[in-house]
Amino acid sequence: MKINVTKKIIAGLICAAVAICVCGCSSGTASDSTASSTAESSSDNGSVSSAASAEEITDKILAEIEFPSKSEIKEDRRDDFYEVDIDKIESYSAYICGSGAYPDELAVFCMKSSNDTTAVKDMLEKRVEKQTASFKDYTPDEMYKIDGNNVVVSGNYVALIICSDNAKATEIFKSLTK
Amino acid sequence: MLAIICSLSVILCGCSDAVSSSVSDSAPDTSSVTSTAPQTTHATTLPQTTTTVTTVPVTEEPVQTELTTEQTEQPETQSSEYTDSAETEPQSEPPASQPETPSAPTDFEESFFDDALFIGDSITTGLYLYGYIDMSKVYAKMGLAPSTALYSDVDGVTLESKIKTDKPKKIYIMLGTNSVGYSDNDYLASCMEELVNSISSISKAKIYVLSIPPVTAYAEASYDNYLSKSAIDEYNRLLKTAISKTNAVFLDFHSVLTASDGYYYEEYHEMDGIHFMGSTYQVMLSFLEKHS
Repeated sequence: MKINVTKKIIAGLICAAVAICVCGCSSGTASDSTASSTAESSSDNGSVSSAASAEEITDKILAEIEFPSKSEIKEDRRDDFYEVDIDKIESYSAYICGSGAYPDELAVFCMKSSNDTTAVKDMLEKRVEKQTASFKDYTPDEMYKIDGNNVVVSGNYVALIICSDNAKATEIFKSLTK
Repeated sequence: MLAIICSLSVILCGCSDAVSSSVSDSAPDTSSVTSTAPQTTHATTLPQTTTTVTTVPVTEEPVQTELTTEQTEQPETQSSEYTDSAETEPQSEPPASQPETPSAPTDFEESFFDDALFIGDSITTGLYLYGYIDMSKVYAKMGLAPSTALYSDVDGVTLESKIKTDKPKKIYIMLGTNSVGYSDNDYLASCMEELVNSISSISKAKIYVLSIPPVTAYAEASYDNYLSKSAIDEYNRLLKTAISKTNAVFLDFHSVLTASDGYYYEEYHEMDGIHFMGSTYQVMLSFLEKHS
């Protein structure tokens, strides 16, 4: 009888030990999974998203929002469109509608310091003024894209967002730059 | 007891697998972020062809619009498929007309245009927006027209100033899309003649004037701007006559972009049925290189 009781105790202990191990692994896995998804969706703790490059941000926005005749403005052409002190840029990425038919434009500047964002913001606001002058009479139907909320600053980042869903693009931008 | 422990182990192993599975299921999400990286529309993504053009007009003797009929003789890539289908499915209704496939070449040397200046409207801005031509070699903006090019400015720079400063050796002009339908075509053609003569008075550059591109049937019907196929054809005809009175060369680029029905080839136009696709600029530059 004592032997049976001892066996039951041992079995119970083994089960408990195994259960604890499994729960531990499961917990660890869940944690890893959460961390992974956080990194992808850029979420809330900001630890990963704070390191998001400008290219990662434009990639994410362009994956979510339609952008006609997309043409990348690579660094060798950046000065033609944006006047920025290159030494103050941490990362940069920009796209424009290549056909000239639509005002769509997306540019993200990650500056080395938040002190450098003001000059970029001012420069981009002038760019918006220029595009407004160009498109307001030419394609009035497209002017909803130039809605006055096209330059967004978040931390060290400044974005020019002119697209079919500025609100969604801005939301993505802010979520990645918290 | 042992059976109980074994059962527990089996169940727990199953759970463990399930967890692993759920983790691996999430992996594709990570790669999807990478795979959704945007693809730029550049030469590498555009159709390339080395086919020799036999239907494009010759520079010195611009071919009449009858050239369009030659394009109708180009083989239609899907015609054989249509024949096969018709034979195997005789009960099916006759399909809609098969789209023609253009065969104009797209190869060009960018350096050929180092001493060039392109004058035009929003269509011409695409040359630098897509990155095919340096922005400094493009004098273009939205809404520019034959009647305004001489007196307008682009970013504060007049055309006269631009030409005197840059001293281009080749000047390409493509203007009229913003005006055809609104203004009298005779007047527009005379404005182009005046524009060419004015440029000739300040520059020794060789001047090439391009016929304006076609539109799609959809654009013709939906746009409230009278930019119709017939108006475009008339303007281009009058433009050719007007330019023949100058020392400029008329280039019938319109025919390169136009299918046998008189409208844009599907491959060449932007969604609005008026502007160019990225690949169309390659066709344009290849055409200009070969005819200037």
